[in-house]
Amino acid sequence: MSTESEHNEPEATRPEPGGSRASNSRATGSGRRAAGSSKRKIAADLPRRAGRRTAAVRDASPSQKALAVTLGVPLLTLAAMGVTSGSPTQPPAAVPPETTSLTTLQVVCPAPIATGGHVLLTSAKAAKSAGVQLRLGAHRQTAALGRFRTTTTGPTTAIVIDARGQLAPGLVASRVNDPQAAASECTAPLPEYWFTGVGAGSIHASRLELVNPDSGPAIADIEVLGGDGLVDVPDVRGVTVPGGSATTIDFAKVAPDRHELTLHVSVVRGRLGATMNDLYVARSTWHDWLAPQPAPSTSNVLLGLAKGGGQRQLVLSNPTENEVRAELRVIGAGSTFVPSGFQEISVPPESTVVKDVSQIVGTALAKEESGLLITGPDEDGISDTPPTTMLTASLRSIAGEDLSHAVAVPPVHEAGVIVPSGKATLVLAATDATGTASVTSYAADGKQVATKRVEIKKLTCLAVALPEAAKFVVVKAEKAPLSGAVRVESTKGVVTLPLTDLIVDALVPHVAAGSY
Amino acid sequence: MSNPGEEYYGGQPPLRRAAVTAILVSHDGARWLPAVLAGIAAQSVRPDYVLAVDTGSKDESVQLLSDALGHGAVIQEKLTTSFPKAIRRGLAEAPDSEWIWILHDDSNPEPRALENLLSVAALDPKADILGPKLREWPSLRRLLELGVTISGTGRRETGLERGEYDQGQHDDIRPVLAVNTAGMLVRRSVLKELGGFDNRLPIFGNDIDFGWRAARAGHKTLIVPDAVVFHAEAAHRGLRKTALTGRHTHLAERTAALYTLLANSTAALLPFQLIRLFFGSLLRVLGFLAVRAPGEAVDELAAVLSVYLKPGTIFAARRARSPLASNDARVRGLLAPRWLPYRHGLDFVGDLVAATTDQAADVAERRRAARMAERGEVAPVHRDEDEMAEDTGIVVRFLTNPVAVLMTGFLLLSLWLGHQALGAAALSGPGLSPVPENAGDWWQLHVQSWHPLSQGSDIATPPYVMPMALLASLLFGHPGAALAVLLLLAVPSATWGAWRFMRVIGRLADPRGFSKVLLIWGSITYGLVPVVSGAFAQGRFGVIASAALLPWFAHAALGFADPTSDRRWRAAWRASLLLMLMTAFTPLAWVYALLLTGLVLGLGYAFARGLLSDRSIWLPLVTPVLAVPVLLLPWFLPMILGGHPQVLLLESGRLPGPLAGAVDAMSGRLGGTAAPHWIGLLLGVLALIALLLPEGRRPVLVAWVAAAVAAVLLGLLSHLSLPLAVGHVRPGPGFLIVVIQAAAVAGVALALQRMLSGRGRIRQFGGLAALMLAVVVPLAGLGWALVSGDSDLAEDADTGIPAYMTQNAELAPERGVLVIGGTVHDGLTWTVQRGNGVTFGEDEILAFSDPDPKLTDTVSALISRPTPEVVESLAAQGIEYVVLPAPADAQVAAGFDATAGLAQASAENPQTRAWHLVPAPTGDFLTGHGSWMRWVLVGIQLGAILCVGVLSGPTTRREAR
Repeated sequence: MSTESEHNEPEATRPEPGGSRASNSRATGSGRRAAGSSKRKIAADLPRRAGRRTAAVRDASPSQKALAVTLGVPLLTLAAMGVTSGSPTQPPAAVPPETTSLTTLQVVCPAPIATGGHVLLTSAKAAKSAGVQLRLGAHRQTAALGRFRTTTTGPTTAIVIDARGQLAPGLVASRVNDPQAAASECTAPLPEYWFTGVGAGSIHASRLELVNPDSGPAIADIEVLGGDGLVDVPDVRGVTVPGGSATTIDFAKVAPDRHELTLHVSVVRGRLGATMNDLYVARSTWHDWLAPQPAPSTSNVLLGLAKGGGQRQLVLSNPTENEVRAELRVIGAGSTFVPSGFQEISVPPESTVVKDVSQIVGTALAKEESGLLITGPDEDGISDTPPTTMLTASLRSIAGEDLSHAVAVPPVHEAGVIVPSGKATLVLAATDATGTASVTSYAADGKQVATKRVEIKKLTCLAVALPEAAKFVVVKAEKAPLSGAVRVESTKGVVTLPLTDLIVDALVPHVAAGSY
Repeated sequence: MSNPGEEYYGGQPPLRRAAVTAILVSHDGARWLPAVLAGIAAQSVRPDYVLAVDTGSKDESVQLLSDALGHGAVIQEKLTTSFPKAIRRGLAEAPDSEWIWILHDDSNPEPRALENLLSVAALDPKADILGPKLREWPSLRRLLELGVTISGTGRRETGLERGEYDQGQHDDIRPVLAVNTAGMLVRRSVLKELGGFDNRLPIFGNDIDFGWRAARAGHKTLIVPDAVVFHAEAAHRGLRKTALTGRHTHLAERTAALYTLLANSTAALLPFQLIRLFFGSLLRVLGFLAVRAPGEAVDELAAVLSVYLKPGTIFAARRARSPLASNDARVRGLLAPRWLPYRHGLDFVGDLVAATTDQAADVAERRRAARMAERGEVAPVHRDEDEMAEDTGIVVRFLTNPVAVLMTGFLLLSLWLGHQALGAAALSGPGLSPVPENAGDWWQLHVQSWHPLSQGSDIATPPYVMPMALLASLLFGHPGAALAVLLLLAVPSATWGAWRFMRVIGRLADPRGFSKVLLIWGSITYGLVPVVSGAFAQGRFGVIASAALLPWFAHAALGFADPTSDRRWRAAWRASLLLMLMTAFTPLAWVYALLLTGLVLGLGYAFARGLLSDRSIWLPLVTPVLAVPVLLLPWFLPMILGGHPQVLLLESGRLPGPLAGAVDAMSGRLGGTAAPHWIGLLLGVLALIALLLPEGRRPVLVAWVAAAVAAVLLGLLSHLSLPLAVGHVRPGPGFLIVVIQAAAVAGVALALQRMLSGRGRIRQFGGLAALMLAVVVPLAGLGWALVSGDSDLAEDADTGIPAYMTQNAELAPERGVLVIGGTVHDGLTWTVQRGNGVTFGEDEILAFSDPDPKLTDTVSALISRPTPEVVESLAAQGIEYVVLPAPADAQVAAGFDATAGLAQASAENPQTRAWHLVPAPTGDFLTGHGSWMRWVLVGIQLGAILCVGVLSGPTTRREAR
């Protein structure tokens, strides 16, 4: 190439062609009509031909070929555009968290109702026996914790039980009131609490206790669902609880209301343990704790209902913005049925309704162990429903000469519950599928006193009598999660404690670098 | 001693006149001497004595002089004798006379020259120096000089237009600063008093210096237009090379000019003059480089250095002149006005712009002319209606030209369409990150090799940052203004470019060219592509920029078909620059150009192998695709060597890029917010019909082939999934869609032209109907843009990070904000924001930066088992705040709330959670990595751009002459 252009350059400026040599060098390869034409002319001619490359295509071929090109090019273009895909790339798949053994767990116990009472603690999983710290603010004490062994301590305030390392998994604790039959499980801090059936009047008054287990401040926003929609209570919007302290809110003071209320406590900063101390004045003055529901549900199961004659009020709340027509069914020992003559309960949006179900529950319990199933419309308690039919539910019983609450809590896989003194019955119900459960009872010293394997048919409930020595009961659902509660009857009254899952594992989320 | 003067004097009535001695200085002037001597002999008033000083002529000058003047009247001097010395020598020999008339061997006086000079001298006894009107020799009509002066920059000012004809327009006797020594009539006493000409000025500039000194001394210099001398300016034009001028006449002239200015300016002005001349000269060096006159650039530089490095010379000269009065007011009146250099500069830039934009204006015509010349015909002079100069006012001409009114209206409308760009400083959108605070941030991004982004990155800065930085610097350092200009001028630029491109292809296809209607239709339809495709609405600035540049590039590329090799090369360099700019904004442009070049070479090999044997044909063709990697070296090299070739396929700006499906591809939409598809599909259908017409199919087919290459590339790429450091993205379809649209517009216009200009009523009617349909395309597009005005662009878009944290992060790079998104159940992701967040130009760097595994581990530990050590480690990794943007995961938030060392921080949005790290952040790893390699690459890039810029510039008049 270069040698040729070397003698091209000077020749291009000559008026006369360089003779046959230049023509030959041109002619090679192209066979063009170069012979005899001047170099200047070639230079002028070449690029013009370059500009008509397609012309060369046609020149070189007959009309058939030209037609093929004429049709081929647009067909190729259209086909290529036709297969152009506008689909995005696969988004990065969601990676579920890993489950690891818990290394730290704090549970929060409420203050005693009056003087007296104890905090009982035990563990279903602890690999060793050691002391755990009980603390709140400056208050510090330690208590022994051993597997299945129930320790009784007597703090007189709300308290945080701080279990670390191997003591953390499976920690269970309860606050038990002695003068009256009342008990509350100590819960690990949750992001949300729903308390259904809160009183803010003179007959029924409730006090919310918020405990901050950490050193920094925590803030809770409390929504109040009244009989006619949301109640505006400025005092409970953004309640700040300083680190390591407890705050009590008396709803009869901040939001006096004769109607039953539902509280939605959302923890927006930090962590908080929340318990509801409920006071009811009728023939006597009764106290008990109203257990929280962690989230509204489409299927609410109430178990461990107090037996005997008395008043029973079902409280339902609808946190959604649409009216929900709730359906009530009785879960009996043999089947689940809609009580005769019972209508659907209409729950207006963001409201709480109270329904007297004394008759239905009394009749059912007189016959056999029963529970209640409250679902949204077209809801059989099995299939998923859109969250527009979410409800929270509790049943307040003034029966057996005492106040007790049954609260709808989610089904459990493995639960442990500390049993106060008295005649204790474990009530289990299966709503989704027939399930089996192993029920193991331990005495206060950690010795196993009974173990039993039971089967619960779908949409039935089953009562398991617990031995008198049983202080700690572990229920392990084997096929399907089960709902359950423990009812303890004594001369002092009735206590119902819902079964909640043991906290054993920590979820370690998958962490990755994100795109900008 | 026979002397013509004597002879003459005897025969004339006694006009009371003073004695005149003519001194003729010659050096190798045999070419002109016969005429000059004849001119002297023919004087109506002859000099009393004629003396010649020859400075070592090698030709027959001495012989000629001796023959004419007699042996004794010729003084022979050495070759190195300067002009001032020669004059001095002549004076020494000259008989006593009142006047000295100086002549050069290339200056030929008209018969009445001396007479007129003397008569003016007689009329004005105060006149000490008189100069004739110099006209060009041999043209004889053009004016050269009527007295000279010097401008503040050292330019010799004649006050005449270049090549001005003498029509008596300057025929006033007036005082001037200086007159040329050729034909200068000067009092001998004055010469003596001023010490003659300055020896430091051997050839050039001694006349101005002399005149200046004379003015300072209070002497009067007059120009006498009635006296005419023809002057060949042999030395100035480099026709005469002597040991004194050397090969570098420019060097000698500039040295003389600088010397003259510095030696004569007043003491008060000297410091200013020193600075001004120095930097002015450097500017001139650049200017000469820019017009491909490297020799003059070197001369200029050498001149300023030679003068400035020998300050003693200047001071000696000033000392020598110190006895002279300053006569400041008088001299200033004679010097060139101060504004003159700036006007020259403006004229020069104007000429340059005109030449640059006009260069390849008509490949079509040159080809046609070449073809006709080949056939021996004479090419008709083309006159474009646009260019016809009518004798009416510009406003009238504008208003009576519907094309101008229409196009201006459209351009105004397009500016209005882009009004959103006025808020560009805070604008962001799906493809657009907000611009940084000032242009310096962009320059820094361009030159630094280690970016303090995320956990530090050595990924090369995207190539579009450099042109944007340059633009921002020109706009007083405002990146927002640069982006606004890019967005606002995209449509006008695309329209103008399309107009120019279509004008040429129209003429290539048909000597008459496109009709005005088609030019308007085509340029507006294409000009709207950046808008209707959705590029504007989505902030895809890469697509916008390349759409604005594409027709200019295509226009430049047409130059490959130019008949002359020089123009082909210049087309190649221009195309290289434009392809570089396009590639900077959409790298896919280079890939496409590579494919197209390959296709052209392949077709050439298959069908016209002869063409490929000429290097001046194929080499310019491949130059752009080869030059672009060099022109974009600081980006291209590290990205390719660093294993990131996928960057060549990526859309510029914020990721992910647009996604165009089959219908989008056919209708020229990027996917997402864009004009309705049917508008684009209509154009597609018309393009298809265009190809099916039986006649004039070839040019349409060329357009289709260009579209086919783009379509095939688009179809293939749309199925690719490009792996980036985090996740995958699709290649950007934007540029290819623009290409397909451009090809469709060109194809339709070509076919319509053929139909409308064809014979037969049916054909014309069909053409008219098709035109009606075609007009719907731009009208509907414009209507959509004006009426719906859909846009995804937003000003001050919420980043989810509290503003005070961003302000805090701007204080130092280590004050990073760790942003954790996602949920525990689906997985969490972290990003780190440093400075004012991800800004324009940083998107690609972050997209290609490998995430720091150490930070991933630290974040994981912070979430699962937080200890004070973890928090400390986080601070040591340059984190000051942790943010969970709304909706914050409650579990993670609760965990952080319980973590010692993390203090809750506020956020405007209650759903957003934020914490402040108690330990102070450190971030040495973010800074301190410098790389000389980056500077080398940037240096090579700048050098290459300058070279290609100079090579692509128009040929200067100097060379053309």
